[in-house]
Amino acid sequence: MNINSLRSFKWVSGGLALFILTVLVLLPLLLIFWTSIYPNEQLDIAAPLRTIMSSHDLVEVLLNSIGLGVSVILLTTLFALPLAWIMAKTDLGHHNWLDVVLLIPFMTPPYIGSMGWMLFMQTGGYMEQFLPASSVLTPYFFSYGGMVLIMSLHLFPFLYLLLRNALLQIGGNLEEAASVHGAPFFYRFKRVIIPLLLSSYGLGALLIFVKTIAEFGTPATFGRRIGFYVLTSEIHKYISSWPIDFGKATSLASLLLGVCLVMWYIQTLISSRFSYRLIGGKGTRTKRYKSTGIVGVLSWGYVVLLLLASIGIPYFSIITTSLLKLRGEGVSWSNLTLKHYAELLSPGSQGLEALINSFTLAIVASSIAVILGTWFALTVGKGATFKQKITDLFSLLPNTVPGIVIVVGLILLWNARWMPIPLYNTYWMVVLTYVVLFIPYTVQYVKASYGQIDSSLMQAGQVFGGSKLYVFRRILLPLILPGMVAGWMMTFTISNRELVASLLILPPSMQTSATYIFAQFEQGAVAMGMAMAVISVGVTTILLLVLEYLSPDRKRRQR
Amino acid sequence: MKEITIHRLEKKFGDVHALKAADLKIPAGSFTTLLGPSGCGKTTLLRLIAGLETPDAGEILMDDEFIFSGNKRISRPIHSRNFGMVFQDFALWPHLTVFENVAFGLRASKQKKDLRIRVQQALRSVKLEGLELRFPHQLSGGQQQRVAFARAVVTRPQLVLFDEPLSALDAVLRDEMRLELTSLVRNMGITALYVTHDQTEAMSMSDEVVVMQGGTILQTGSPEEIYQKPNHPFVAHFIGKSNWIVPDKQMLRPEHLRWSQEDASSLPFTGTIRHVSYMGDRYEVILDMENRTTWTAYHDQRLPVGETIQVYASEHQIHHLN
Repeated sequence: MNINSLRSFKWVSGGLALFILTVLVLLPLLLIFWTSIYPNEQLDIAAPLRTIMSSHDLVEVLLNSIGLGVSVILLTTLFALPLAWIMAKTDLGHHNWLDVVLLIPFMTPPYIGSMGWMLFMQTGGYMEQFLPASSVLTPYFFSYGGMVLIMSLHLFPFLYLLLRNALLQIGGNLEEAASVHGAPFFYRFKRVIIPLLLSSYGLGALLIFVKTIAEFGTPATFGRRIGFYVLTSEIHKYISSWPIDFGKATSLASLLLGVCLVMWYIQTLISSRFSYRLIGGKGTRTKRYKSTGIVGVLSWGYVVLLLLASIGIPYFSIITTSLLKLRGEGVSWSNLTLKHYAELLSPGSQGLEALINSFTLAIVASSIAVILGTWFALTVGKGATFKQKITDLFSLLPNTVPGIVIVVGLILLWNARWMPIPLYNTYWMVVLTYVVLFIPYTVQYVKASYGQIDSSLMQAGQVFGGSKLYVFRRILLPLILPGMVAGWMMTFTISNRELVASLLILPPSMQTSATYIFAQFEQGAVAMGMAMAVISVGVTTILLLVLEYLSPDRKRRQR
Repeated sequence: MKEITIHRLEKKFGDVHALKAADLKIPAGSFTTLLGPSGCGKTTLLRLIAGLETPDAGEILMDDEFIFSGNKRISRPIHSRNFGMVFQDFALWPHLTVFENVAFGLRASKQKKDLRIRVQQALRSVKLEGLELRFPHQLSGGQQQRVAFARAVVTRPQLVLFDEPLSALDAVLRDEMRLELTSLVRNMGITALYVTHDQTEAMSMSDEVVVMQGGTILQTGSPEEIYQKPNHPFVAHFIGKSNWIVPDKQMLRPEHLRWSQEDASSLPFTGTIRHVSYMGDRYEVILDMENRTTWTAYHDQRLPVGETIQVYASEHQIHHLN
């Protein structure tokens, strides 16, 4: 192969990658904007705003979303900050398993977590069975406050990880330097710890906000129950139930998209301007308080309480519900049965079909996503040229943009009258949606692996006589393989649990485990739904925990 | 300025005995260096004195005032010991300007009087005037080092602790900063306790060198004493090159070897030339000796490898370890 043909191969490959990303990711998003500003066959830039402002309900929905975002930031901070301090500053931090356990709430699909809480708190729920007097709490729980609580219990691990890592880094020499140079605890806290923590906190809070307003699971279950509507649930309503109103749906989607992009932009500003490179020297030893006495009791108490609320209650409710013969009979040994599982898994049943659908869809989607994602990641490389940066940006966009917005865009594109490829309402449309939604994971993992490979390794391969293909196969591929495996597992897991895309995209008469759970919970065969939830979440959570445990990042942390 | 005395100070980390009953005196105004390989306990001792770790037993005194005592249950908090410290990775606060980094200690202890002048003075002494408003990440490694130094001395501390401060710099800068640091410390008349694993730093900068190994202080003395009269085989091995006449008992330094018998009292030794390296100012000759040890000698010409040769040394150059 001569130099020219090699260069042109790279050029064609890069161009093709960018083209595919444009069609898959960018076009659907642009189409949302276009549809919202082009109602009634004529251009009207202000149309989305007018659509929203002219309707009292939509303004309220917008304010609901923003208020919810702010409230969840406050409550997650309340959960995460003490926890981060405990894990960074006391010897509870030596318990590495706690970090893995603390990820479970974040890994639990929000709609399933909400269902668990609802089963626990509702009239006749498990709390009332254990403690009849507590029924006075029920109306207080089924309120805006309850929704904020459920969402915060889902999202706090994310903020916790950010804060803890920042605290660990500050806790080394920077804090010691302050105490040697005469600063007592509160002075240190005020002048060194707080300012350094602030940029990490700002980033975390923004991401929590974006994740909250982008979330669909809790609003679709708990929010619907209490009549609290937000952007995502309204978009879903206007697209899936009569009367379908694409004008309103795309206006809300544009708005949601706009807010998320602005937040994302502010976040990159913060991280480039106000965050400090906090790297401990090799001598960094963090001093930890011994968890004995009052410190120990308070710390352990806090952690246990938080785990109980974020994992214990929802999982207890889900598992118990899936095991009860008759829900009215209450929790007792004689009332336990495995028959729901047997029924669910019996050949030819609806449940088994949904489960198989989920697994096969997830396998196909994650395999395609890994191949495409690896290709994109290698095209991006170290992101030196403008084209590479754009490719990077596009391939990570689905992670920045709320899932429901991408799904709306994909519907608009593939269901358009002028679309010649008849993909819509088929099996492959679901695969395509999953691939688009989750491709950023593979891209990020592979890019991270690739970033650690020094180019001299490949050059050495060539010097010692390897052809391009040989070097790729024997050197590059093995080194990025862990990233690819991580990408595959992640895509497999979340495809399996994806609710909103499945609700909107699945062809008629086809079900996945997520839509099955959702439908059963709505229609009353709750035990069957929860049995499905246990199987689906159980399998994928174990997979995610294994992944988290195996990830090289974690091993480095343990050193 | 006060003298620091350490008496039977001990520290364990789990099962690791990091420091075993150490005794040490740091005279006021002196430059004392803790020297040893990594894991020898030198950093632990420094951190115990700073207050960053709590000793298991023993005493630390400033003149005759306890700042730590295991028996009397005294432990003065870190921030009121009035020490300065230069950290290995400098540990400059990234969110504060150079000025505020240096002023930190003054503000923290509420010494508001003449604050601006004192900070400026400290910055002038390290030749950083004009850079007050920069942030640490806008400075070079050498400049960061100077800020860290200015920050450590601005409060006129009783003792300045240096935790391998030059190891983060590259070789050229390190040599430069070594000279500069020494003259700064001398000019200011500071009491300094310096930790390093680099014998060149220890020998060239210090009034007193404390050699440590495995949590124990092996020898304390002036650089000359440590080099010429090591009292422990490890000290002889660790500092400079040693030629052993009787392993671990009698040794000679390479520069004392002669290639001809200058007077009748010189002792002859026989060896085979294994290797010759040209060092620019001389040839370093590695010899396999008859007593199965390896010696180093210096010569001004290239000698043929493989030749058996006689070297001589006079009796009084031989150091007997006790």
